[in-house]
Amino acid sequence: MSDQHHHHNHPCCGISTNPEDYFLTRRQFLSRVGMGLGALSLASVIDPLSAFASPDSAPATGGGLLLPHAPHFPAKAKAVIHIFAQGAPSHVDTWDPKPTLTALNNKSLPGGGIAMGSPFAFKKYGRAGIEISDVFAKTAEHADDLAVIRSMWTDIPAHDVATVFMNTGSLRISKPSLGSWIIYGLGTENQNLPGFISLRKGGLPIGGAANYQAAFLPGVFQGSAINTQATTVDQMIQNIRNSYLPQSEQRRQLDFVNQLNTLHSHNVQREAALETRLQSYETAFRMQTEATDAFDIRKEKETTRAAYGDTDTGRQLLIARRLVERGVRVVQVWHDGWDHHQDLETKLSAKAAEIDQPLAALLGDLKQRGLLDSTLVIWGGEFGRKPTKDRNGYDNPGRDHNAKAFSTVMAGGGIKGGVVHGATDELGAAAITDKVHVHDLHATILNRLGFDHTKLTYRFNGRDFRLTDNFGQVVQPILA
Amino acid sequence: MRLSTLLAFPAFLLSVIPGLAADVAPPPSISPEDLQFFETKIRPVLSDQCYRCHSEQAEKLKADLRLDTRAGVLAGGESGTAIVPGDPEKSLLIEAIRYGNPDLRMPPKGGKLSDDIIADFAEWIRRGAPDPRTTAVVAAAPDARGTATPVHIYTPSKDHWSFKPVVQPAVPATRHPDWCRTPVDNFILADLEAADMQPSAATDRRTLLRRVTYDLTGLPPTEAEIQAFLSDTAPDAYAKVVDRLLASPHYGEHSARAWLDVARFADTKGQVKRRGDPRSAGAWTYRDYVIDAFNTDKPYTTFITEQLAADQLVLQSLHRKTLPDEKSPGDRRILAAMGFLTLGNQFDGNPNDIINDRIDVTSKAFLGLTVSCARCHDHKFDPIPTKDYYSLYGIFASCTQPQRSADLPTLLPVADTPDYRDYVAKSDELAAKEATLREDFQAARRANEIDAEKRKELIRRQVTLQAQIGDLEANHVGAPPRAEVLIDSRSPRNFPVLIRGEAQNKGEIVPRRFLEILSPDPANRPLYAQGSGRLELARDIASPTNPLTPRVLVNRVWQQHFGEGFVPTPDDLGNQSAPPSHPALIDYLAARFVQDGWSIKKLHRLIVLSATYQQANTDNPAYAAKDPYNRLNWRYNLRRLDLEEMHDSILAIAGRLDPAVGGKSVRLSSEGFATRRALYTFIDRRNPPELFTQFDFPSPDVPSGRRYETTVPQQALFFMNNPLIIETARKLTQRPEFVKLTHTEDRVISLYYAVLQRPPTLHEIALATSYVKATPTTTDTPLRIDNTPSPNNRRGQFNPFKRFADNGPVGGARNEGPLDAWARLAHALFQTNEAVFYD
Repeated sequence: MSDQHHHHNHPCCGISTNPEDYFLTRRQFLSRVGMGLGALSLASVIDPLSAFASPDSAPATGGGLLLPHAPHFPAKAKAVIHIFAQGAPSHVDTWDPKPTLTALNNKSLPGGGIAMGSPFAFKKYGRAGIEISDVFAKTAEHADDLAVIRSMWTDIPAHDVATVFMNTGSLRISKPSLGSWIIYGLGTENQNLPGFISLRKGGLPIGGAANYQAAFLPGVFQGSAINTQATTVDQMIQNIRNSYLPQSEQRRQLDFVNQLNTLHSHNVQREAALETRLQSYETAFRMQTEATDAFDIRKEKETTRAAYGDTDTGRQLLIARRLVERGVRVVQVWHDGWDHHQDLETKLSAKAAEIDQPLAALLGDLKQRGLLDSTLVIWGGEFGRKPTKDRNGYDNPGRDHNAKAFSTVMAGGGIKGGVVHGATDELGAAAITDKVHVHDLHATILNRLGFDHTKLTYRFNGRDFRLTDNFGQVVQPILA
Repeated sequence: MRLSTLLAFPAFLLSVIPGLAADVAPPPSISPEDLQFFETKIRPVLSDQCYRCHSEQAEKLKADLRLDTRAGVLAGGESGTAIVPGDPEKSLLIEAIRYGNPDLRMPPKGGKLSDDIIADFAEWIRRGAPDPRTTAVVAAAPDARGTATPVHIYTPSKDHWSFKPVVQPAVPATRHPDWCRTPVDNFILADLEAADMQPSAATDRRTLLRRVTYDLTGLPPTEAEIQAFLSDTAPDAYAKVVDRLLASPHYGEHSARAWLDVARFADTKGQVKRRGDPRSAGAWTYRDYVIDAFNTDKPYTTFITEQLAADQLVLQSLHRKTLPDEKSPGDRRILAAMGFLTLGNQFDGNPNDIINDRIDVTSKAFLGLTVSCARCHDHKFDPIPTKDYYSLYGIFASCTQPQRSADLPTLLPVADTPDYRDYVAKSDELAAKEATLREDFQAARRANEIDAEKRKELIRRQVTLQAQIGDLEANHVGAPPRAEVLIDSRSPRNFPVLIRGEAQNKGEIVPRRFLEILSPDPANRPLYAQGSGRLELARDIASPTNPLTPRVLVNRVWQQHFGEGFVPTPDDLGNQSAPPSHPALIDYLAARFVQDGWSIKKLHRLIVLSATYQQANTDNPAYAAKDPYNRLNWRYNLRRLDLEEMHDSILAIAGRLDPAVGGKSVRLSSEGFATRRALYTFIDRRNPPELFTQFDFPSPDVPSGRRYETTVPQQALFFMNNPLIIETARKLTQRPEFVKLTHTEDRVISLYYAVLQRPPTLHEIALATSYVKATPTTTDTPLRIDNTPSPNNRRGQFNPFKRFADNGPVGGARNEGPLDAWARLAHALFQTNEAVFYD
């Protein structure tokens, strides 16, 4: 009667979309009795289908699910660093110059409101002469590696909704995050570290854990949130170290546990989950050292640390590079505080200064290490701002929310450098040319990772879900 | 050619004349690939770009062309045939969207569609324009506006087994009737014999006791319980154990946790409207209600009815209209049941999403149907038309939920104690502040000059005030327990279908009534007339003739005992689900369940007293090859403890578990987590504890009848390094009865009994002894690890959830100093596979 069990294998990448494969019971080891996880792992690396294709061999476990899978087509990017400029950065003061707006400064606009020209100067950078604001002067030195999308738009200009939307493609209903979809599709390169890490300073981001959640995907695809303000690795990663036993004693304890587990396995049904759990202890044992090492930026050269800067953001981006270098698939970096309703000139320049040097350092560092080609770096917020002065800040003007226009910058990982894509109207009020919606950005990111966004699906409650819902078009012109 | 009238009969007319519309050929069956292509590439574009002028919803239908039905597409419009299936080049629609003909450019506004979309349409037509939309207009029933009302025809199968009435099958005969202990066994054995297989031998009594104790209470048996069972030679010894477990208050706790997963329960509201406090004051009273319902074996029909309409039941009993046998008329405690509906995400106050969540949880929990799929379109796989969704929508849209905690009803008449008086005084004080703040907001709004600082200050005040109110309700000793109710609004009414689920896109008004597929006489379904209709809905769901309700429940209970139900997807028994492993048995149990007065405890007895349940977990390679998933139940399955079972077991084993039942939630970082059962942990919907997520705790935003079982290193790290585990292991070795043992062997045996509920083998004693002996005698200097929560520097940015980012040490446990060899051994045993599996 086993034929009654339907296995919905993904047609392209061998990922099981059958929730059955994520449950333990009735899962057996059968034909692989006596073969360790190592054998399984190898098989699935060589042929991703083999790990899931046969009901006899499905290792319904986190270990197996996170092994590297081949995507739909050869990927340009292997890893993603997504720097979330939360709070909705003003595009007309950073990446989208508007001379007409400057010319109309302080004049009433026909559409209402008083024009606010950018207080910042723009200069041309790189071979393509991309105009970039002085507040990003250091990042601008990498203009030939940057694709600046000036025609982004989204649905709702409210921070929490739009932030979660940028990370999950869903306005209210709980859906898996971009990072979760990516590691569901690709697995991760280093089994001793989480595949998807969210770096934050202090408390939760706006929108909560929804920004890195697995939702209806198995919990193994959830992002691991790490507080980079913690001063020690022990505070950053739960249970990463044993405060009781030296490592040699812990090793001896683990060997003893393994002996008992072997005896136990002789008394019960052959079951892959038993073997997998045993392996997960070995992984955890190694992770203690590896994770501690990955987050310890004191191991970097002084010059490297100085290049990123000894600041919260500098340390975050340096950690991000160390993680990607070690095979972490997705790193989400939170850089919030871009909600400038008032006093924009002072506040935005200060906020940009926090990220400009570290971002420039990251791009240079990745390039120098030969990692930029395979690492997709994304900088952007959840929406943009209006070209007019915010009513609330007449003395110290700022800008109000605007869902119709914002800029997102991408680099590396199969992205064409020195490119400006799309345009807003002459005041920067709305994207008008080659508009790029959030779903389109998601489709593009998945494309660089080797996925057709319409085919990376997961069956839940009888429906195939995907990150881009029923939408999304790849932004072809920025692809290298 | 533009607007030239090529057709004598406008398509619109064609479509409203029954005889002619019927001439349109029925849709040929559509392949999954074509369906996928249409749904992802074609339908969204048609709906976004074309329906505004070319559909039923058009203010004024343009060119007599309708693109919202297959018939309309094939019929064409004033300009002629819109498409020639198989030949994109001859299709007018392609010509129009290519913008080649200046007189025929579609869509007329917003510019040419992208090349990708145009290519998709050409591909679609080349494939023969496969179109699953069967909503042909077959009858002209003009509504008030004089437009035709479409009558929908649905293709999803109504012949699915689970939609058919439950008929109790005869208990089959077997070749070995002596093996059978309850009728369950006849069904299982008959199928095994048909497959030329035999059941496994009965398991040993110690294993059986561990199995049934975990299954019914989520806890391991104590050594005293094991000894009592082993020494009870009476034939009904096992039956007595089962009765004892079903009578234990821990039974209700364990069953409640599974139901709370289904009810997508959490202590907070998710996205809260307007800076409200995210905590639900009465969440814990719903949990206590569920525990009590299982413990008292409340008939399942009552359990259903109370969760959907307890307010109506209380009102009725107050009016002495029904329930003549009840003991205390107007007992308000059952109001807590309504947390089932109200304790979902609040979606920023968006009513459509809130209602959708309530429809979703109601239909999945009780009916095993995904009705919420029909929010935007007719269900693609199950016979649930969009109209049915909006029938239920009308019910929930005719209800309101009190927004302020102080407006929620109390569960009991409140006693006038000093604590209560103090609470009322503080509550009134805060209410007065709320009123003042409201006035200040209004004044600020009236003022022409908008003062940013002033506004900021108002918002700060509001945030503080809402948090104070939340704190008062959550923490004040005098705060009375409240029920998170839903009540009928004053003027219940029917609502229109929202086409594609869009609020601004209203279709026909549908009556409040039950689902077509589950109604005995679909054409003459009674209209719900009592208030919102929630009580009538509850009665229809809890009807003995409802084919799904008993089957869904029986399937859930079977899963509780075997790890997998007859149908592996407990929240979906519709067309998409796998066929049941034992179609006759699920129906037999469903029929028995109804006959037994919907008693869940009786159902448990029928199952756990069976020989099927009492089989050993044996390895049988020949059978495993034949039936790898053990669908035929030829042995018992190996089971892994879930998060709560694991947590509670460790505490119980060390004698640390607080047996108290019910009460307010406890924080993960509080001592409470280290003594109370895990189901009492405070769950913030927006940030469930990381430990929980790592151990497969389901997302509280979706009903979940079954948990994933993943194995990740983070779980191992918890067992290896967390002070809660290690300090609990240490406490095991500090018990007086352990300390007084002087022989190494006796100590090993004692720890084995405690952790694994069995004596060790000689080999295991030897291994443990050498492990203990080899432990270095020098005292290890423990690493100094700072487990204090890290600072939370989010200056100037409000985050209402910050307070719930629970970063403290789990259970408040901290390193209490060096571990001796015995504590290390106890810790090692906690880490074994055997400690977290049972068979």
